[in-house]
Amino acid sequence: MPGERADGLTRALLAQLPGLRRYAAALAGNAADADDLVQDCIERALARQDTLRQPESLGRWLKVILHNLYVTALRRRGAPSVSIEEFAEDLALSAPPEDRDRIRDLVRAMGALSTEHRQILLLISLEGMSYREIAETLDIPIGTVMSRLARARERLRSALEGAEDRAVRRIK
Amino acid sequence: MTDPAEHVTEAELHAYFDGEIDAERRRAVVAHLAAHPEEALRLESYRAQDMLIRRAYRTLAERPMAPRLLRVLLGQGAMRPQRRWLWPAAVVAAGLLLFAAGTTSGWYGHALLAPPDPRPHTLVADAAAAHLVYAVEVRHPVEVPASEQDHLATWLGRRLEVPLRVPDLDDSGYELVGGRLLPAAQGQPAAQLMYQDVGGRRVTLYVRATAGDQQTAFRFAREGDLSAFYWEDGDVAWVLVGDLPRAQLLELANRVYAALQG
Repeated sequence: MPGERADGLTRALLAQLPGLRRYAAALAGNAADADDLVQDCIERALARQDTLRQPESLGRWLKVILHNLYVTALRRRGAPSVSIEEFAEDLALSAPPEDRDRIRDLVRAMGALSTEHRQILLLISLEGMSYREIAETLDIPIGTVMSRLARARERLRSALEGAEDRAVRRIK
Repeated sequence: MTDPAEHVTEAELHAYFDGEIDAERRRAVVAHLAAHPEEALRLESYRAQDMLIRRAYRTLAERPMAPRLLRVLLGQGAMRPQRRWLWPAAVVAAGLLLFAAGTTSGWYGHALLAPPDPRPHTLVADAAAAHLVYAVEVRHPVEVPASEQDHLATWLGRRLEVPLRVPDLDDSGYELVGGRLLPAAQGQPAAQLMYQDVGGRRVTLYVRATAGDQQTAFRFAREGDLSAFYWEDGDVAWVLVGDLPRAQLLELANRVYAALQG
């Protein structure tokens, strides 16, 4: 019965909201644009609920929608409304003091990665998805997941090492 | 004969790191890492950056919900009868975490989200539900605190009618908070042991006696935001639950398993 389904979907979407906002903000590199993305994403999900074939993969389905919206928004608008520096500061201040420097560096480094690399790191580290889930979500072969992940991790590592070196030089 | 450790690929290193490798190749990777400490170091830095990603962004999900998002979700849907969902936005936002917990624990009872194979999920769903309810408790997370660890093991073991060990996860950075007795299916009791790291992040270990006498491999499941590894060992089923990346949770599950054997 459609009413039941809609009600169930609303409840399921509500439960997904905090995680979806987190993912969107981390992907977009700022929290304000992320809520625009999430709002569009929910509207689209509600409008297209009939295309959700497997209800248990709702989280992945939402990420696909969100990602498409993000890529479109990037093409259309270009620069985000809030700089990555501001976002880095925002997240650093939300963390315990001893983590702040490292978090600032991480958010900057993540922001400098390509969208593809940032996305796959978030899917595995933040979202805790398996290779198979990522492959299905991004509609790419598992081999591509693995090679992309390897490159992304290595890029991030060298960026963070660069940041660390600069910090050491500042102290000296 | 060629040394299989020589043929470990970059992809296999990552698969090992992410807990996505089979037992045979796992051995090859372990041998490779033993022979190439610089590679082991590199994996260590991946682990550190994994945790940093988690730490950096986790607070984003805890921020107050934007009212406009709730309006989009709750104020729309022409097909939906408008009933209890139309709470004031602030109430909804405050209740959202609890609500998410409720839907997750009732997840599999819900036709919309029925899984293809519900069998192992009652165990995992019960463990996840218990985690959601108690891991957020500030003042009363456990019935018996870690300071009474011996009593805890004896008491829970007696109630579950299995010899129960309380694994020590200090080396992994997780300190025992304590444990509690829980109701499970068919009037059987279950137990929950809780651990937390220095950041206050909690993982729980759910224990239930089973009828079968079997050994199973680790199996992985997800319940909403939570990840779980579960296995059976003799007449006891174990579920380790946490809001952690799969690889970290797997590492902890390995520690738990080792501590229980040791």
